[in-house]
Amino acid sequence: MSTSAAPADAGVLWLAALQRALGRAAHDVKDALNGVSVNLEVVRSRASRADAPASAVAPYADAAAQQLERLTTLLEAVLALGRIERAPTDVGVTLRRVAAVCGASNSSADARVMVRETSVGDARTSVTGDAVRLALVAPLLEAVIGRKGESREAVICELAGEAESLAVRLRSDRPVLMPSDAAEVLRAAGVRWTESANELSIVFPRA
Amino acid sequence: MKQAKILIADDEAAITTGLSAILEDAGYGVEVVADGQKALDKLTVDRYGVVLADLKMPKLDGLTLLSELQQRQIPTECIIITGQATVDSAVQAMQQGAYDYIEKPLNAEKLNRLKALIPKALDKYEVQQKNRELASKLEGLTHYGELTGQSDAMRSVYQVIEAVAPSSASVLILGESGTGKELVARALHQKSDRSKGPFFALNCAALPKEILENELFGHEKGAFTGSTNEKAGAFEMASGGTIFLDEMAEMPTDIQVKLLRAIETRQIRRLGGKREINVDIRIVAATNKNLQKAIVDGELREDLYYRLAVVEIDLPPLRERADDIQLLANEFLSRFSQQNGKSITGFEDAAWEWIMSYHWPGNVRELKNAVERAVIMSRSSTIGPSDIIPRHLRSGDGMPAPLTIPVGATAAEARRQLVLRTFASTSGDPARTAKMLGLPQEDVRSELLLLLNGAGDASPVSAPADAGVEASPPRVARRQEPVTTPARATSKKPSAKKGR
Repeated sequence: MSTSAAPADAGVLWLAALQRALGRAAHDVKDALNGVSVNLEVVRSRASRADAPASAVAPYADAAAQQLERLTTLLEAVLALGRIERAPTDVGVTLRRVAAVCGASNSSADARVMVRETSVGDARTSVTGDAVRLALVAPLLEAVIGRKGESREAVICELAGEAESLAVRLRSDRPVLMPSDAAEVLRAAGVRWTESANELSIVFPRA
Repeated sequence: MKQAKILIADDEAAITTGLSAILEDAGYGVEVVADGQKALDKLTVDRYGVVLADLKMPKLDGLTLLSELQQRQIPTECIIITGQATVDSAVQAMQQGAYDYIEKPLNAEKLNRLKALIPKALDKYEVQQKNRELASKLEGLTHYGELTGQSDAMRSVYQVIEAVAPSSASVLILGESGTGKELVARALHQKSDRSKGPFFALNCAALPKEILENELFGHEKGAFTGSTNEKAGAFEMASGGTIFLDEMAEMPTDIQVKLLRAIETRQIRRLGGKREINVDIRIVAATNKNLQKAIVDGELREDLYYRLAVVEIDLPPLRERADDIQLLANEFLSRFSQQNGKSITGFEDAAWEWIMSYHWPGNVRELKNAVERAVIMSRSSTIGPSDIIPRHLRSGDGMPAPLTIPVGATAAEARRQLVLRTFASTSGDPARTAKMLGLPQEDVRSELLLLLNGAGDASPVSAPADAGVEASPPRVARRQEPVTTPARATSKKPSAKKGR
């Protein structure tokens, strides 16, 4: 199995992008934690009353469970993205994790992130893990973050497979671009992309 | 009173559902909105004692909501819930008037803190709400008890009366003669829990020492020659109510000692008596004296002053209540017309000009007497300047009435006052005024118009005591040395003759 050589600073750029994404995700983590603790407090308080019917407690237990699930998904994604990726990297798995972290909204103006997957079979690529993550996070963050006075709609992420390559398409209501600071190292890492109208198509060679 | 509601503004349904359940379980009425704009809309049409607002919300974030609440002066206490507890956002929230802020996640400890904060915030809201209601009740008020006035100065007095009346604190009313000190005392009594008890007023300056002491404390049979019966004093008679001691600074010092003891112990002893009598009394005192000077001169005991002046109410002189003069004059006109069986409809313009420009050293009492006299003297359906201007202030007998212009007054002010006073002295004859002053009639008219439109100070010039008007120290800071000049500027030789 051959892997393309990535420039040394792909890891540095990836860590910077991860830091930015985590900063944004912190708010959602706190919100989910908040949801758990507040609803558990209702459960604890009402359950201690002898006359409390189950219906007075159940909705809050459900809500706490839902928030815990939301928290778990987010934390799993964050932890996985923080780990050193073993080669070869699975583009589909990475996309889902990146979407979970980048989709944690930090502002009401931010776009939602939706992932649509088609069956691509083996989604492993020869590009290094750091470069795959950088190639997905860098444009997705740019597409998600709403600017003051302009709120954004959803960003749709689709994974498609060709014989020799895997393509991740990012579509939005406005242009989605590959940030210029990441472009050089990504090209050197073997990532290709095309920008058209409101779509960015990122192509990774199959492993 | 119905407890104020709580509004939760947060787009996280999982949080708002739980939080509202916690607060409802604690007995609060709670409503929830999902964004800042909806919160603002709700707060605009309904009253909420406390708003729990997330810092990050759609449409309007927590800080912007807070800013809008301040700008629109919407009464509520805002607690910001923040997931981004940076020092900056917390400081900004507090600077913008947030009651407090709590950092997410709301664990058990922070929820307990929130539960402790809410009743305090609601208390603050309730207190401020009461103050707002009081201010709004007093706004537009022209009468309060027997007091009349709609000026800011009088509304401030009403506010103090309203606040202090329900307490049992002693009150000292300061003000010039004729400002209505007894009316304030009556209002304090009427607005207090003692209103069903007696109100007893005593003028300390009007009675010789022995009689004053007897009036205050009463006497036992045989206490002095001729005291064939026992007599209860003012303290006993007013027990359960209010005693008003007017001109208290005139009270002899040995009676002041007894008064101080009565205030401190709530007990009195009649003259010639041996037993202590319990009295339940609220004392309201009044004076027109400079109390600091009276204390320094040994005329007033300092300890008594501090006992009586728990709350001080400073009654403004009429010259500082220009807004009230017209209201009072019309009210007196209506009252005295009715009492005298006359159909007087109002004041002539020239009479108004004099009324509004005269400085009323005798205050409301002088205005009341002037209007009563004018009503009695008037032979027409309106009051003219000759009816209202007292004889000693007219110059019809060739004697110029002097006027005083403070050093530092502008030439324009001096000219305006000169025109006005001369106009008044001619019983409102602009042609004669112009002739006397050596000015074109147009100039006289324009000066009078300026005054009529409120451009002139109503009382920058004070009449001297020798003009027959009660002299009184100016209350407003006017440190300039006054220069006395005759009203008729054309008179080259001011008469050495004093006022008539």
